[in-house]
Amino acid sequence: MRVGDLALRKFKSRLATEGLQVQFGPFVIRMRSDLASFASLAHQLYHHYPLASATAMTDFHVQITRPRWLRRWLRPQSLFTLDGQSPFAPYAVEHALPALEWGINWCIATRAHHLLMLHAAVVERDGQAIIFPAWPGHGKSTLCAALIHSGWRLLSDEFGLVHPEDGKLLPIPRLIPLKNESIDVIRRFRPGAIIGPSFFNTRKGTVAHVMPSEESIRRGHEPAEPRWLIFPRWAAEASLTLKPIPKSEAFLMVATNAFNYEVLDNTAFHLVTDMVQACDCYSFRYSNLDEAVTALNALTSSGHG
Amino acid sequence: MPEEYFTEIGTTHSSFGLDKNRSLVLTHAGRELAWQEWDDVYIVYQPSSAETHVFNDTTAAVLQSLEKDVLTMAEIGDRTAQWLDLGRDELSSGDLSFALGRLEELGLIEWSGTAAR
Repeated sequence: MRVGDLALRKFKSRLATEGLQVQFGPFVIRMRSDLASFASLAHQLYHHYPLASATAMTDFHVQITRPRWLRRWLRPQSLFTLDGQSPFAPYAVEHALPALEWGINWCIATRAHHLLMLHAAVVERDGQAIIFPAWPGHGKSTLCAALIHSGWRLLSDEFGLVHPEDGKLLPIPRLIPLKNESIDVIRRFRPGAIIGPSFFNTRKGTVAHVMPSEESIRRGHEPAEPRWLIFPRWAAEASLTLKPIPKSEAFLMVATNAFNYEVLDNTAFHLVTDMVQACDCYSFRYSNLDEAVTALNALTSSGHG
Repeated sequence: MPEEYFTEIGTTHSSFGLDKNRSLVLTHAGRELAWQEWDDVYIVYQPSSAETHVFNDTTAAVLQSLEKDVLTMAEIGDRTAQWLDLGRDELSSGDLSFALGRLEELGLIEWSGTAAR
């Protein structure tokens, strides 16, 4: 059963009472909210996500609710909580959905140490994945959104999750948050892309969320093999360049970019080493999305990478 | 082994004296490293400190030379030069000095008998 299979009224009611267990890749998240506006939006944007069975183990209990104090009447706010604790200051009530999404990121980044977590977008085709480790502002999400509307399956936009037992990449196909100019860039690139409303003046500027394809979510349990490590960098007016880089350099960038390399010690060293060894490694500079997608398709179709 | 090695090492790192007959040995930490070499760059994981290091070929050669034997500094210089396919006088004393100092700081090498003293 998926979120969208529940009538909106029932969805709202369950969110406001016992909560809903939603499956996001390998994680089961029980979410609760008493915010009607949030519930309507979540019903739309989480439409394709599977509901976990009642007996499934919950990884995170999260809430996005009105704070209890007087402020709720003066200028309504929304407060994210995890297991009853609120790690962040309240957000404007109209920013509840991005607040919940950021909160879930925080849960995963600080707690999911049974997996190696790269700060990376990952897309897959024919079982092989491109990993895009990147730092904020490097155009990772924009490129990822363009690729998933060009025949690639979304594994992740934020977390490259590496399974310690076999080094495979686990999907976590969540909403892709685009920021500021990137929103219109993707609207122009694929007018058919389903993008939620724009949230203005958030702590990260204007944010809007791209819905992954139904197929990406349905295949949220199918891992992929790492095949290419590509370090993207968007720069206005830049000519496209795609250059091989030494594996030692790629290793250092992946290790320093990971959320929990130091937590996982020896395991992380071997996972990153094996991943870099298995991948062709490139730096990638782009400004035009059509050119970028064409270049990546050509690279990955050439067989030898 | 050029005499300059000992002068350089002795002046750069206080623990490396001028006695070329003293021997160096890998520590326990130096024996449990995990290695990956790419393009003459060595990525080395040290379990005892949970740190990952990047070593150049000289530093890696010093560690390799001590894997099986306790060696004097003169012998380390000779074996390192040999491992790097260099002539005896081609190995930079500065490079060797830097490598030894770095490895000692990381707790990967020590003077033979240090632990007993």
